[in-house]
Amino acid sequence: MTSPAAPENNLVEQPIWTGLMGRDEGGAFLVGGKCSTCGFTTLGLRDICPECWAQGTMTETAIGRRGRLYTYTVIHQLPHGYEEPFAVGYVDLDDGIRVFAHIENTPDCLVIGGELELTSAALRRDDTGTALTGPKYHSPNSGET
Amino acid sequence: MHGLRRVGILGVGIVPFDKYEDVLVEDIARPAVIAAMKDAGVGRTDIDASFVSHLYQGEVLGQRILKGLRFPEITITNIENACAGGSSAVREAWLSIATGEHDMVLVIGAEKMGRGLINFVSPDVELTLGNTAPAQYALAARRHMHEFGTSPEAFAKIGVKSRHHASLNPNARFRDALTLDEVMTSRPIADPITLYQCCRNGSGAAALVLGTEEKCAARPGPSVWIESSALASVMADKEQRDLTSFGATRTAATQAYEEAGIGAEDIDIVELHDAFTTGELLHYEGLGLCAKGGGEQLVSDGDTSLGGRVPVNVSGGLLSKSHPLGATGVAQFCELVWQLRGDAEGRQVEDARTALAHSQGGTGLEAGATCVTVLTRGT
Ligand SMILES: [Zn+2]
Repeated sequence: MTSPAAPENNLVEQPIWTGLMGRDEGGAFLVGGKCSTCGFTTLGLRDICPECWAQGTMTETAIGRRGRLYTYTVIHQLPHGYEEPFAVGYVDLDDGIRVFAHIENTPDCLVIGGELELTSAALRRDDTGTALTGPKYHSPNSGET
Repeated sequence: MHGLRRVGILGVGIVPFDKYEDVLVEDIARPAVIAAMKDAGVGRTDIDASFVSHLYQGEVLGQRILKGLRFPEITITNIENACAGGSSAVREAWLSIATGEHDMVLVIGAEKMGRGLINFVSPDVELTLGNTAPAQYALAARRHMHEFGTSPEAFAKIGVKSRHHASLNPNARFRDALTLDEVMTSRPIADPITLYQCCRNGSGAAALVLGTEEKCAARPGPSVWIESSALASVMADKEQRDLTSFGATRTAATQAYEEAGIGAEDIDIVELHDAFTTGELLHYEGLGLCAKGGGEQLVSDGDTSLGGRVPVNVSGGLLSKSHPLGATGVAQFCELVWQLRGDAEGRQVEDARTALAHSQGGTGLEAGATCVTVLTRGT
């Protein structure tokens, strides 16, 4: 019996949370839901509109491309799968939603009130070595794409 | 609330928190029950019902504990409200007597825990993205520093105070004094929180016996009354809310003061949920012990130290006692009852007449429970 060739793990990646992010011509975005009945917007697509309780009225909308940093911390006691300290924060989006996300761990990105833009980045590896990707914000001036 | 019967705390018992690696949770809990029953001077046939708090101990913990002490077929309710479970159990017990359903009720909080970061059973997207319990309190602290100029030292001073108090309390687990420098330079956990600013996991138990005014009259010594208890919830859902203020703490405190007919200025002693030093400072403001943004001044002036205006966590708090989740909220009441009776040898707050217990729990800053209870000393 032969087993399939092991993939090169550094080439394998998958989303850390299914349905959290998407990508279009405008770049990476967070998947939001917008209620066709009342217009309420959520992070993630939900079955029931939290505001008007209508079911099946939420349709996908791109949110979270840009925001401002509300607060941040650098995590040193690492959760499972992380190899070095990393920065996280709350990013306030224009549509009133606040999202938790990784932030580029550099002084120009960790500025409360500072403008940030979204990227998709490998956040950690799972036990098989697969890179798990998710939202990471950085300063538009920090030169990354 | 109107027409409630007066309820007092007749007995308290604690099994000081530690590891207890080779001890079953039922065996950890039973000595706390026995101590509370003896302190109250009552027997198992005097108890009408029991409310039992835990988070990770499986089904019907209360029944498992009490069958080993040959309790009769009483009403038992097991309660989960994250780290506020213990105080929630006390509140349910209080209400069950106050509303006339029961005359004497046993409250138990018990937990047996392992090491490291708490593993939440139902991780949400934030936890999946790497958020941790200390990080959540660090995020709130960082915003507080930004808005009010609060220094990292302000939080660290709470760690120093906690150990000083613990050095006076034989029930505390970490009793060696720490300097400000030792707290500041201990291992970084989530900036600005360092190791000595985090509570540790623990195992242990605490128990209370609550009863009607008639039952309390039969016990010698000063009575301790529950004047009010309010339970509020954090229900934020990705909204842009003020993280420098734990809203549910403010809501629960406001309600508890109102129902007790007092104000924050009437409180003589506080046991509050200091899972992290930053939480304690923010709770000072949420409980109204000082104005918003005044937390650093309060701790720097020594107002919340033993001998100060309103001593906070004289037991050593979660920081120096460790944190067996379901037991923590119940243990706060043990300390406050000893203080109100005047029995807190070596750490007694002089002439303590009105006390406040506060605990907070949840899977994050977004969803959780906060309970505030006001106690007074009778005659
Ligand atoms: Zn709607």
